Amino acid sequence: MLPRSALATLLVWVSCVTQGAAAQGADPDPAAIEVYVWGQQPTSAATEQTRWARDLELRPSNTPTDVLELVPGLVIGQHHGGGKADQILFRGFDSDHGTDFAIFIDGIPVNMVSHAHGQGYADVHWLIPETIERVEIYKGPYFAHLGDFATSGAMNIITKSRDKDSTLTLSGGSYNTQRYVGIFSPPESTLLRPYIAGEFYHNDGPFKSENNYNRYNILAKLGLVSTANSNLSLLGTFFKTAWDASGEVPARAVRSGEIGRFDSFDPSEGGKSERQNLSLIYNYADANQSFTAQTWASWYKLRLWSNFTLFLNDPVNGDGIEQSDKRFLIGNNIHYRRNYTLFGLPMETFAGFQSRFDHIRVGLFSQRNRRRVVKAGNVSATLSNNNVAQTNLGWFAQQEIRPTFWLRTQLGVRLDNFWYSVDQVGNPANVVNPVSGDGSASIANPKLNFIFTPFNDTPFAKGTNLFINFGGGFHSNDARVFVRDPKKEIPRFWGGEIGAKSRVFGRLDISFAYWRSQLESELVFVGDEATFEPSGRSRRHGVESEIRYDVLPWLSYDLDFSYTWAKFVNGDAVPLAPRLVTYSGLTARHPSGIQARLQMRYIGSRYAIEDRTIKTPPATIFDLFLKYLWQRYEFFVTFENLGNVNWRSAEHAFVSRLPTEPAAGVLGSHFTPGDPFTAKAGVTIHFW
Amino acid sequence: MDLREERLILPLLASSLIHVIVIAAASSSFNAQPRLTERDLLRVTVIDFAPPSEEKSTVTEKQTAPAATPARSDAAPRKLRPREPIPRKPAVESERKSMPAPQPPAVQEPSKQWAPPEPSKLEPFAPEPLPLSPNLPDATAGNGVASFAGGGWRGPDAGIAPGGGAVASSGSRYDSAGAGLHGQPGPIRTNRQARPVQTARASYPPMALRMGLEGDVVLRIEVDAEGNVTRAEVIKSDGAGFDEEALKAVKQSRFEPAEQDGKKVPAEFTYIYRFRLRK
Repeated sequence: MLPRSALATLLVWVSCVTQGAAAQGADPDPAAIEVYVWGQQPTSAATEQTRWARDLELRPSNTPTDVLELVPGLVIGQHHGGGKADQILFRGFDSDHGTDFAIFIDGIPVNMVSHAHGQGYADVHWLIPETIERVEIYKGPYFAHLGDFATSGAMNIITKSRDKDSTLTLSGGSYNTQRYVGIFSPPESTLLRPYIAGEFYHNDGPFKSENNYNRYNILAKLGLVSTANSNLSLLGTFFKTAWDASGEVPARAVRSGEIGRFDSFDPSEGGKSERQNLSLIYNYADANQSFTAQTWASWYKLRLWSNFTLFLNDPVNGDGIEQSDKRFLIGNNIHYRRNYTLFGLPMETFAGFQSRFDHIRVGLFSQRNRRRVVKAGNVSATLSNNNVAQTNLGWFAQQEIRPTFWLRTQLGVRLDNFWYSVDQVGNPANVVNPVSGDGSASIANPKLNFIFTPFNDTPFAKGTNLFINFGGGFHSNDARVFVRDPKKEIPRFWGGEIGAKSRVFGRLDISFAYWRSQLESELVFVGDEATFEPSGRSRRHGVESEIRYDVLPWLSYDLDFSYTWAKFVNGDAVPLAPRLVTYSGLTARHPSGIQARLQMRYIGSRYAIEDRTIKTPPATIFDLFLKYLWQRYEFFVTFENLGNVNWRSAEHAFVSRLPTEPAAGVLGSHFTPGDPFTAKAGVTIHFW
Repeated sequence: MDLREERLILPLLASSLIHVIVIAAASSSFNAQPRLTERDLLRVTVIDFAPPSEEKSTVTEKQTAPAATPARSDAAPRKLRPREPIPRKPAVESERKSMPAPQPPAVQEPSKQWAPPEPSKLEPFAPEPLPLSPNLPDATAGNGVASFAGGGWRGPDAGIAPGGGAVASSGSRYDSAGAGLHGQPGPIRTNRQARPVQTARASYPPMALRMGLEGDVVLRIEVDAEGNVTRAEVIKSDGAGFDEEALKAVKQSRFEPAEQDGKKVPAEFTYIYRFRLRK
């Protein structure tokens, strides 16, 4: 038995060691008194919010695109083996791959203009979910600093500059899923404050023809200059991916038993993509002003092989297409914000400038088994092949005035200029759909926000705000359509919203919004055919509500609900626009180290076609996430689709033809099955 | 919305039922727990343990191996919750042995004491006083309360380590005062740190709120024998208005002066404002 004094000395020694470790950290004095001051970020709309990494930790996340579902009312769908940008369904839009939803990562735009697969194609796979610090969510076109594609909404994902420690995550599970993530984050005092993260992901999916999906990601950040008021940091990312896909199968073939849900008619579908980014950001903030200047540049490549209509256009070779996109893009963001008092009224001016230049080689080719072949009736395998140069300048200013203590008004205006130049690559006679031309357009949009704080805080309700928002927005059109469009106008989108937000009993956050919007008619580029088609005026309105309830100190409940009515002015339904979407979950973070989340996603039935004759089936999916913290290890297990229900991740209605069907083809629903029950497990190891 | 068409009735009923259950479960626990509604929760951490004695040098080499293991296993979870005062755990545990278990009323009483409701100015920008919700970072929610009620506050008075019986806040600024007491036997009341009785609530700088910035400001403050702040100096500053707000608030704060041998004395100590966004 140790003598008592030795035991005491041991205690002292242990304390000294641990205290020494603490001294290396942030606390300069262990006897210091600490005071926490809590702040709530002001918002301009009931639906505007910032979600922090904490909310992501306990959500099953296969791909970085799952981050998008943090936006209440937003649904994503994947129909191409996991590697392609997801379909985004939000606020009455089938935003396709991002036509009406703008995404930024650290200020770098993710959406691609005049893209081979679709306008606004937003591939967020170059993001490593573990590196997310916070996600700023904006719904509607009411925000002056958001331009192109920010019609139904936008999100800006901000990555961390450092982490608590360095970690290594190893995980794997069903369908040969493997995921390895390493994060290197040395202590704050390290020279240049490096923050480096790397990811490798592999997945074969439940399909007969394996996805063989591989993804490599690296993110590196360096803090070049750092003072109390300012910092200059450099971000570099590397992303490379390749996958095979089973595409969308005709529902009629599955019903008749011709093929299974996870089969494929053309297993040669797939793609590969890469994107590299460099970004230099300078931030300055003092008590009265803040300034941000950013320059970014990206290199991007995509080749996508798909076959949607099967054997409709060419009964011999099939309707396989290859979409190819290669581009260099570069841009700037400059924001300045200042608080001051004028005529005795507190004011804030927010102004900025954004630029973006895309130099693109974009083409569409016919293929069979990923080899270019000339299809029946065509002069060559090249359906379209262009060099596109596109410039976008955006200018905005917003003035905020607080005339009384219960009102904030924000009046903003934004001007966007576009210049397009489209050149034909090669001899136009050898191209099925030759295009060339130039054009330019401008659009100015007003933004108006009123924020009322009519009630004083009471023990019953705190932070009660009412919001009225109104604004104009737009999404730019594909250059290949724009230069052929005689009107050369950018279709405008109007949106308005009323909403309320409050925190009741100190433990229940409630927000509610009713919104309306209207989009002018436009010409839509059909990326799969290199043609364009008119799209009529459309109107949408809907309700959204969000509830966050802290049931117990360690248990919280959340519910997002949205219902949307969307139709064209002529009465047709907007195909695939989401109607009822519900997302709800129960999250436990027990002090014992056990963390869990049980969540439910409900996607109601949608109209797949204008005349409402085809409807998609609703789906209810339950997921469970369990995590246990033990010393320096985090063990986690994920079960997705607990009920093993058959659901459809993506669905479209169009005419296709199976080899045995009549030449005119058959109109019907085509879908990509969602994952059945999936289990994954892994461990995160924390170093030093 | 056509309910029949959507086949909504069953899911809606099921969903309502779940809501009722959840709300019922919640409301049953609703009044059970005293909830701190003050934003400026103070966490005072004072390290108490036996005085470093001569024995230290003799045992050091022996300890190297066994002591390293517990130290590391303690440090590991700390990384997951960086603000958690785990390094001080040994001290806190030793206190707990020698003092009664923390009682819930103790939590409420001081909270009334030092955080008077300051009439909120007409500043819609300024953050509203926020309740301490379980969603707040670990440091405040569970641990802040616990260390405050159980150990931190009374620590200097009651926290006498079994072996020695003196306060040796090693590394703190009270070394000079505490030095003479090393080795004194029995429980003595001495060298109580100055503690805040009336803190002016610091407001979150509006620009930082707008930009989504968090900050830490480390101040060195001097409190005279009456408890007034005579000097406050920023030793680690942060941008976006954090320094200004921290200084403004601390200069308006009142302290219960430090005590030495029962006499009130001027003291100098470190005061940290941690500005955090509600997440």
